[in-house]
Amino acid sequence: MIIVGQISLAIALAMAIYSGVVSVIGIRNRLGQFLESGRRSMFSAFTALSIAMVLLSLALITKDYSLKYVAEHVSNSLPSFYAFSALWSGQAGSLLLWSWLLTLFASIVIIQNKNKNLELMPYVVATLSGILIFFVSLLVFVTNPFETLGFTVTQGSGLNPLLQNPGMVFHPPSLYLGYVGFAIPFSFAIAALITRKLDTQWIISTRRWALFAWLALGVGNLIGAKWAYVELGWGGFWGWDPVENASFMPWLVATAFLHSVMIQERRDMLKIWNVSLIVFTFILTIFGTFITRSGLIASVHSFGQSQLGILFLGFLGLIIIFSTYFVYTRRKDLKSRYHLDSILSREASFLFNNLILIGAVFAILWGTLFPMISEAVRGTKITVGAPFFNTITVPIGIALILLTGICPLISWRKTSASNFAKNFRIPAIVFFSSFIILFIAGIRGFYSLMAISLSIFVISTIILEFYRGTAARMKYNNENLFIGFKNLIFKYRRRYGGYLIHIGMMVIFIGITGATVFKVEKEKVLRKGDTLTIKNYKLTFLGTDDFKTPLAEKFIATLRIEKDGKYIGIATPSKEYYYLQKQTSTEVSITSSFKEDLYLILAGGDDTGAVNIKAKINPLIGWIWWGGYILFGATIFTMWPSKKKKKKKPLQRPGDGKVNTKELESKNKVKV
Amino acid sequence: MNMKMKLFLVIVLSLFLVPSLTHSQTILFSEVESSLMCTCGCNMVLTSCQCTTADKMRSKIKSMLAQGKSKDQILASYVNLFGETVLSEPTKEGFNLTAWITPFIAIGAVGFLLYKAVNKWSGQRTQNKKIPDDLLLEYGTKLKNELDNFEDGDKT
Repeated sequence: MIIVGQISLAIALAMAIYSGVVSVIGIRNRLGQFLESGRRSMFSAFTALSIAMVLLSLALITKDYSLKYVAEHVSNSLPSFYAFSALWSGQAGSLLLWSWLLTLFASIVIIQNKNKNLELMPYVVATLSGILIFFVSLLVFVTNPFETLGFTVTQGSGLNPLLQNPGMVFHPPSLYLGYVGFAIPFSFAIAALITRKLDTQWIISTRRWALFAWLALGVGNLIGAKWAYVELGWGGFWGWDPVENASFMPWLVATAFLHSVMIQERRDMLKIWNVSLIVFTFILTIFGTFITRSGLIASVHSFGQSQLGILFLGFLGLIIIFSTYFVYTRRKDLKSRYHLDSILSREASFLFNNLILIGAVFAILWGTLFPMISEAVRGTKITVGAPFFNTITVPIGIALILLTGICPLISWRKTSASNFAKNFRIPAIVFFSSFIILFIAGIRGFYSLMAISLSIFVISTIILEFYRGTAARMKYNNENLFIGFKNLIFKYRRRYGGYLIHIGMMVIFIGITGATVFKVEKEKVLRKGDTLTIKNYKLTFLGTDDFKTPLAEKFIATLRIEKDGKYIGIATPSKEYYYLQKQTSTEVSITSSFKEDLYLILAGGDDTGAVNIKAKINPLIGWIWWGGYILFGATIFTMWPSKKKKKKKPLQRPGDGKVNTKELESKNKVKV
Repeated sequence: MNMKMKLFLVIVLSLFLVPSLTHSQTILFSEVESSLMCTCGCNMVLTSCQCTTADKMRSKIKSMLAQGKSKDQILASYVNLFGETVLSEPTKEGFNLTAWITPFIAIGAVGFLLYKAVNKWSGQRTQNKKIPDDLLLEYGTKLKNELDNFEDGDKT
């Protein structure tokens, strides 16, 4: 098994190098057979890495401790479910997953474009091969998952107790789907730059890939947030850890990209900006991988200090130099033919939305790197933790919500002030009404008032858009309300799907505001029969219990929960002591409702039967997860292929249009 | 039971080292807790960490608050022990101030430039659209003649 695994990796590396080399030779000498061979060798690399993936998974599930990776990440008592997830819990396994996903996506792209994008594809394959060579080289030469232990052990080190959560099964793979997914639009962008085919074709060809990667990264972050909430026992969901930041930043840049490509598709503008955004997104995904693996920046998620950091830094530098060279040398081809018509246009609002998103990325990157900057300048290392990021990002987030609401109220190209005022009237009334109602309800913080009122404002503008569209269909197409609404969203899937995604985001924003600003906390030492009252909840301590599992010893406190005098259930927060890791872990008890979560932590206990209970009310936190479900469903809806495909041409101003002389010559048989 | 006792020992610390605090001290405690990092090396803000080191730190902070120490005094005592890295955010003075203001300066500056650029572009567009008077007269006359001819032709 070990030999087969090692050979598979070696074959994958050979195939990646071969694919890259023959693609370049094929491109330079216009040899179709070489290009075809390059494409096929990518399939071979995929097959070889699939074998390696299967073998490592089997080794983990069967606890084959002859492998160093297995001995370091699983133990005899670890359930197969978590033993399988150990595939991506370590350095080598996660890099194998990265590489495998890259070959999988590359293979799909090659099949998708068998008869399409013939000029771009050789460069796409060559770029993907280049990325693959780097990752598989790390697996073969630096951190081989099939490295043997050299001696016999009967028990492995096991998986960190904090990683023994269903989140471990879904969170990292989802992030990797996102990280690797962005390699596809990046490769197309590089191909478009090299070939100078910088029209909208590369964007159209990769739109779904970009959306898929964006979704995967977003969902991965949300799963991570939920995991932190249920597992870490502090009642929060986002710690602004450098590695969390590293996965959030490419998502933000990709959000900017997904918005600004619409301007290029419609108006043939912002070419240089869009190509730079996707390059920046991919650079940030590699930066995220670098942060996790270098140990350079202290992080909860870090794999620890390793020589991989310097290699990733070199690879990052190479990508930056390579991409910057092509963007710079193609700057004339990337120059837009048109300019914005008015500041009061949807294009301008998208530009300002991009400014805010990139501004947020800059702020987060600045905060993430500031400890190193401080050390370099002052010689003193400092910490930049969650309080800093919360302070910095809140006003930026509010500006973003405002723009999200304003954008649908403005037309493409130009909106007259009177038209804007007309469209703005109802949402503005909704905003001010929400603001006043919330103020009367006792909410005082300016940011929280703004965040919730603006989110309601955004939702109202979107509902208004749906109403106007449906009403127009009912009037002009003679459709009833249901058919009109259905046809509206299914015929303009991208536009209305996008609005639904915005609704999901606003629900998330409301959830974040509620859970962060309005949380209530209480801590009390309880003896049997004692009660703890927090808001309208009454908790009665019934006693403790302890029992052993193969992995850990559990110490449980049992509490009866009453809400407004009515019994609603039993809570069992616990502390666990993991034998193998000699580590305690907190298992919280969460009672969820639409309005709030009752979050109970067993902070301590003694052998006299007394316990220390921390109770928290986290208002609206469930909205974060519900917003995530809306976002997920709406993105799938937006990505879903339509039956009819209409090719949109960029809008042109009358008398300022492009004249395709070749087309005209061939049609009219005249020399133009 | 041996393991259980170990577990108890871990938990028991947090239970008996908790002095009771007044309402204002509880608010101060939350502020101090979110201003400090846990010193166990987990890189988490003290509020977020649930390890025994964090429990000990919390108990110590509560004791200091119960002794009447202010937030600044407590933070200073931790900085003396562990250095500036124990603070969860940069101080708002000296070089650290750049951490706080740089993002907003950058966004403001780029936003201003973007606003100027968009205004310039849209201004150029408006200027380009201005038709010279002589051309306007020429085309106006042409249009009038064509319309007259069209109406005449229509009549006939």
